[in-house]
Amino acid sequence: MKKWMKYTSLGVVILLAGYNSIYIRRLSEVRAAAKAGTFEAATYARHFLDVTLPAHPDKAVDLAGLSRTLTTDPARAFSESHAQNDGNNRFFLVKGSGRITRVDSEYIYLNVEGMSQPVMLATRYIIGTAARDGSGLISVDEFTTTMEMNSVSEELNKLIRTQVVPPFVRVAKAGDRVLFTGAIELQKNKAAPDSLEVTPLNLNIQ
Amino acid sequence: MRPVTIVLLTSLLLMGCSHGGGRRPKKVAIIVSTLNNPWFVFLAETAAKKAGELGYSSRIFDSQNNTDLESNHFDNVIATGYDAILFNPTDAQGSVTNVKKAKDAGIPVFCMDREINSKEAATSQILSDSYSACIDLGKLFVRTLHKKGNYVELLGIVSDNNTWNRSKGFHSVVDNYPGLKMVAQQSADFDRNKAMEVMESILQAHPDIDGVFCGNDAMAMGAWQALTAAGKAGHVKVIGFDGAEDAIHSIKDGKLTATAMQFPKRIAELAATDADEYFKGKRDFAKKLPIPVEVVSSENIDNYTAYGKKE
Repeated sequence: MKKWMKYTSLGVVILLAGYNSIYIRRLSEVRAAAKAGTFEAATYARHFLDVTLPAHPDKAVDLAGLSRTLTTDPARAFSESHAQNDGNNRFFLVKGSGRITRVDSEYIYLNVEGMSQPVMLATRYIIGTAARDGSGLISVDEFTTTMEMNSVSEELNKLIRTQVVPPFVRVAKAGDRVLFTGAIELQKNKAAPDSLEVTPLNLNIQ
Repeated sequence: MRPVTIVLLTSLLLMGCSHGGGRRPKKVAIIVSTLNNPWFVFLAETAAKKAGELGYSSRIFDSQNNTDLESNHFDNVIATGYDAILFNPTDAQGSVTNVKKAKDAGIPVFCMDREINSKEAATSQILSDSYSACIDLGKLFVRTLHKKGNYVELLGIVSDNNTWNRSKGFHSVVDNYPGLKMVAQQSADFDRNKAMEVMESILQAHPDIDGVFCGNDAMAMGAWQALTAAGKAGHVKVIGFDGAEDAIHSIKDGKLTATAMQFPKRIAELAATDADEYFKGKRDFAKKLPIPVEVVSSENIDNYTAYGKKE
């Protein structure tokens, strides 16, 4: 009798422990819950390019003016730069206009009024964080993780590569006059470069 | 003795007692993911040194890359009355619970180097900007391999955000060049011995490689050992990340191609300083503070020493 009670009690304990140790949920529910908390980098990037940036035209500095200040007063020039950290690589949102002098598979070269060095609009390799960081409008504090912020950079570059550049490249030719807004990356500890590479954000042929 | 004098003396005595209680030296716990990697030893010891300079006692806890052990450390730290935690997490998601536990107990947590997936749990998070650094490493890799060749990637711990920030930064550049083909991508958990084993195994299947990108220097050194044993070290370009002592020596000796210098001294000292400021009443800390990371190669190796820049 005692043995019977002992084994029954043990069985009940094992059943209870087993029941409370295992939770079964539908995979679709788990996936849906995970998706609800997923950051939509592509949507964020689209909104940034279409809404946020156009709403802040004052954030873009005149590229020809910046180029002069970089030579005469670098400290003042870099005071208009942005970055997610306080390191040597700094980013600017720039605007200007110029005439196309040459087109190749990687760049469209511009002669910008008031600038001695050529401006190269990147058309093939859209890489780095200039598009994200140039305006200073995106801050790491907005995001739960740095991975989310970095995925915004990738989505912005993808949008530029697939939607900003192709319609422009299809029609651009030497001699055209171009209005541009873009982002550049410069290093504080180096002299002003011989040419300036611009990641394009908005391009129009006049 | 007049009553006024008695009241004054009593007040002074009480003030003295109260002041004495408030002067209990603050205790700072330093919980790090692993002490099996010299980089984290340096991070922990620097944090302890800075805490000492600021007048606090401290103790280092080694989580041995084990979230359960890390959780035990948090329980211990909370139970034994520590006043702040300088924390290097084992797992971006799994460590959030531990940080919340400390927060609920009124203990501020200051993350060092590694991130947790929460903006609210930690008081501040001081993090290397791994993504930006790996964009620069990716550019250097493309230049070094002249835009073509087969390469291998060794990932760190897959539950750590640094692993993916580094990998994604690198790929955001390298994937634009169709001539560069990744023939294998495997995790070696930021561990030198594991990296050597993984690399040996990969070389069996893919003997014809030109480059290896590793998520930290320990894995880069392990990969280098495997390549040396296979007689391929002279040809294959190996890139690491951290700025650890052996990697810096290796670049000087013409072995590793490059690394990215994190600044653990700055990270650890900032975390300890944040704790000090918290004790003094500050509450508005930057939730995430990315610290710049710099590419180190044979071109600029003379400017650097282990874990930092030459002073």
